[in-house]
Amino acid sequence: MDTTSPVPENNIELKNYTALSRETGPVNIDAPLEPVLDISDIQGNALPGFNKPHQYVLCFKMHDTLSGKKFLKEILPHISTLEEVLAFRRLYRARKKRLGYKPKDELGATWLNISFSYECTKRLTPSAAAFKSEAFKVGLAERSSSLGDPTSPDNEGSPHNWILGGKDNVPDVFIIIGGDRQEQLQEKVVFVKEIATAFKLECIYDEEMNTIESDGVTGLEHFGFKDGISQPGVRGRLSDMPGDYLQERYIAENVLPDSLLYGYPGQFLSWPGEFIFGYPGQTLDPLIPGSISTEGPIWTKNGSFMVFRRYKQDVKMFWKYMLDTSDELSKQGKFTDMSPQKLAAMLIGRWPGGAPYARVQDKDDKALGADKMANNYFRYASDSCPVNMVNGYQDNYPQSKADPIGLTCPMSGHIRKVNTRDTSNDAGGTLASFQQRLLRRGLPYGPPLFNPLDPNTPDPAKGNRGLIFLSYQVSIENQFEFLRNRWMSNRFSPRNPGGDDIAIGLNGNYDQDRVRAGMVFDEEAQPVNLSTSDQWITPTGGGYFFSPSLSAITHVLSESNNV
Amino acid sequence: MKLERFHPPGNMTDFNNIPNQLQQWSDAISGWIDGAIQIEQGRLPAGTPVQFFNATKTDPSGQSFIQDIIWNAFPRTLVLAYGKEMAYPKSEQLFSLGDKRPGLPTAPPFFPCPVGSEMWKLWKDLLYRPLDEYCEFRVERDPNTQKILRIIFTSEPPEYWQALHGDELQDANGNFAYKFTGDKNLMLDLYHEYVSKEVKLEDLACKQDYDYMGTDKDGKPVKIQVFRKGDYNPYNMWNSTKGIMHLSHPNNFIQAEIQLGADATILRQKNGKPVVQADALVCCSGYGGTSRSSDPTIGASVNDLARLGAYVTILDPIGLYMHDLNTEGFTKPNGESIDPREYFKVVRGDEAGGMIERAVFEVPAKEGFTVSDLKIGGVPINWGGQVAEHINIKITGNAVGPGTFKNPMLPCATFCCIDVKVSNALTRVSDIGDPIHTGYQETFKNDQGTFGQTLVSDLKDGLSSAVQEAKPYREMSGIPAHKKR
Ligand code: HEM
Repeated sequence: MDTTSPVPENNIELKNYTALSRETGPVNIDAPLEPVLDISDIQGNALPGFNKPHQYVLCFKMHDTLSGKKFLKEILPHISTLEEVLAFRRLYRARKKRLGYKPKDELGATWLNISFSYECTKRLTPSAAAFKSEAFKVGLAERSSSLGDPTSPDNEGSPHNWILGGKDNVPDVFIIIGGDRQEQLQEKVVFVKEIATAFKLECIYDEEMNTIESDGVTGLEHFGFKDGISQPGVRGRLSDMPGDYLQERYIAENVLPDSLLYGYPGQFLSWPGEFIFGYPGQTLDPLIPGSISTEGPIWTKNGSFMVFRRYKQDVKMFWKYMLDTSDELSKQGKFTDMSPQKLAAMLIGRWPGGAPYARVQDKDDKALGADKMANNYFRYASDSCPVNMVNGYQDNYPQSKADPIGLTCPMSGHIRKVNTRDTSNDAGGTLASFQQRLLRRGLPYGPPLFNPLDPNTPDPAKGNRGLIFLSYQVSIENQFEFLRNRWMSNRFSPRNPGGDDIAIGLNGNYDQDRVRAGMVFDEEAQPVNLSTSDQWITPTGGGYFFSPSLSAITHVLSESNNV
Repeated sequence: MKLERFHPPGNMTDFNNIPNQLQQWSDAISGWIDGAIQIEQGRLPAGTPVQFFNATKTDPSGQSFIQDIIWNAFPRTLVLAYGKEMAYPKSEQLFSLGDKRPGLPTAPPFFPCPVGSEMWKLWKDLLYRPLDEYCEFRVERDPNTQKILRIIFTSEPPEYWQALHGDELQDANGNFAYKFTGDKNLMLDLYHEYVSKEVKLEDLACKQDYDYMGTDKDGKPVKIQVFRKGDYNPYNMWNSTKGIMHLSHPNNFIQAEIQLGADATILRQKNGKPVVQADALVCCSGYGGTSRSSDPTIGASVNDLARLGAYVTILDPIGLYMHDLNTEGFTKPNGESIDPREYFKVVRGDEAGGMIERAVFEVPAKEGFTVSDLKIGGVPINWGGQVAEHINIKITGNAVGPGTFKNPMLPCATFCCIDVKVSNALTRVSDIGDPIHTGYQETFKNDQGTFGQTLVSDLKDGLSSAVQEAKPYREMSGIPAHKKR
């Protein structure tokens, strides 16, 4: 189908958002009225996300409830809010833009957030009995077998062997601290540990996480792919000013409906009730707000469920498969320019540098991968075409083509298994796609492996590396678990022809020997079957937590006359 | 090569020894497809070819793609209307055909007739399962402990059983047109084998005519016949209160699937931009329910293929199938995983081909516990729906020769309204121009679900001739009015 390129319209004033922009999106009559978020009550890692290069997870057992409550009073002023994190982020970006490089030496902050297990919340307040979420109540270890995790005690990944969150090492309190500078972060960690000890909290796990940068690409996970690119844009305003949106909108106001549907191009806007309790969620029509999300106790407003999973990644094994299999495929002559990177890009859905496979198939395009205005702009059901943007940006990279059967970007690719975008899926239409989103806040732990394609590359860390996966959502069952159980480890859904999520999936089905099988299409559109039972990722711990609002901590959880 | 004939669902063999029955089945399927094609032809501007095709009559050239279209077995309509917790018990109840539909507060009954009339009383006595994803189940419990002993699943279409009974089935215009030889004794044997030894032939037949009040082309009320005295009664007690043999929800039938497939090959546009997203398409074309898992995904998947300019059809054998049960996370009381081959026994259909028609979920006798003693993700199985939500249902689409067609995109025929106080997803689908009901607001007003910035050039030509398409939409839909969703 032909589409002509957009012509920038002369009479439109270009916009560049600054540190204090108060109109960050359309205010016309078609724009739906978005709720004002309680920005000083919502914890900042849920929204907008710490996004810090260095982070630390600390997990505690709370041995004494009354002391634990005193600890909460003590830690309360250190908990970072949406408002603080966002204000800093906008300032940082504005400085970066003017300087032309990261203002690392000039600006720095250290943020802290806290979450609680079900057992712990019950001890802190009897009203926690009103929680409805089965998953939160029974806990991650019980749910593990339905998340594809290994069940055999001989396997490192079974809950019997988890370093935390298994049968009897479930933490009560989860604290995450993130910072721009490692020294400041360390100071904060020591500080938190000290007061925790003073109030009889025992630290049962702590782990450092750092972003990985290589060859000029930032934000890599250990397999070597740029992560954290596709995040839902969250609707909602910071004040009752009409255009004061949390998520800046980049598509020119006169482009309808796109300017009302996206933050960055391709970044679909979701109603905040999908992630934070107390706000409207999604309906069938993305511009009509739905009913208010609630969960059991009334103090859950402004809170969110947090999933924490520690996945060990076997980087050498991952790349060995890519090397061997791409070699074989090349020999069979099914693909021109087949390479380990290309095969891996097909199975992830993005190239290592972040460029979407749907947009470029020949080779990685690092500029596209790093370009926020373009790296999430693609569709599966129809061709994409350039749109006018508020800042005059022109997207000159190749556009994506309609690919409903997965002839180009395989349906078994990780990002196609967890987000069906504009295509339908086994749970129904587009509404179903947009009710399964997550705010992903994970970061790698352990040192990167250099030259992973070389089987003899030295590994002083002995394989101790992986991803601390963190996600925030209002329903553990319908969001995180749904993606893991119904989509990633189901060979036939969300769409066919596809297969398991070979790269990131785990297959816990009976008698299938943990084999992940899927298919891609060669250049003649003939199916090529791929499979492996290699354990590229191994769950080694985690837990389900609730991340309450600051007011809930102040008035309910730390309150000592309710136990 | 052209297909020689259409085969029975899941290649089931019951028709094999009945004289002419296999051919009669093929003729009926072929007739329903042709009827659907004719309806689409009436919608398209003169001279525009229909992309939906009859594989026994057309052998399109070009590369062929086969796509399984998958959806979940547990009714999303019930989850959206009642929430999971309440949807589970609701899904195990039976509902009367004379009453309003569960979970769809504004939808009229399937067979409208004046409440209290004799006609209505007949419908009132017929019961169906509220399971509208082309998969139905019956939960059998221990009468003393209420623990689940077994869950019986079916995806067999009612038409197959009407054919086995030797009935005459209606064509796309609602005329009785396809007569089957049938074999009532075989039918009885099957009921004896799968439901109960107590079943008698007379229990399975209609004791009188069943009619309802519809409207004719000019909008005048007319009596429309659904079953004739002596015909097979799909709502018989052995397929409702006392057992389960095949699909009973009035929307779960093969002809509806064919019509939906054909309807979805019509390309749609709004203000010159192609309508792409599944929910927006349902609202624009009016071919199904937005609240289901099945219809939006079947429709959008077919439409995606049609937008590539391909010929599209449903792959033979045309049927509705359970594809698989995913038992990841299903554990025994001792914590071990269950072996689905021992617990989910396929008794009819083709298991290897992913065309399961009937299956029973139960604990092997040697284990000595019940289904309710199993857990999924640490939560005991108390309802059949907890198992159903791990079953994939499918139909298989076949697209041939992408790039063959450049059909015009028609304007929307219908639009949706939503009342978020009622539900975040359930909508009323109305004809363009119809009033909006109080409490409701129009959806997709800013063309949400469309893509593309500029009017596609060859689309402009289609516009003028297609504008008339919107209005006669309802009357032209070939599915007998009582079978329309
Ligand atoms: C070791 C484990 C994992 C690794 C290495 C990994 C890696 C990646 C990478 C490289 C991307 C593409 C970058 C981006 O679009 O942001 C991605 C995207 C994504 N991942 Fe993962 N992932 C892991 C586990 C998971 C799990 C367990 C889930 C959910 C249950 C998940 C959900 C997602 C989602 C929702 C996206 C965004 C897809 C989109 O919107 O296009 N990931 N992941």
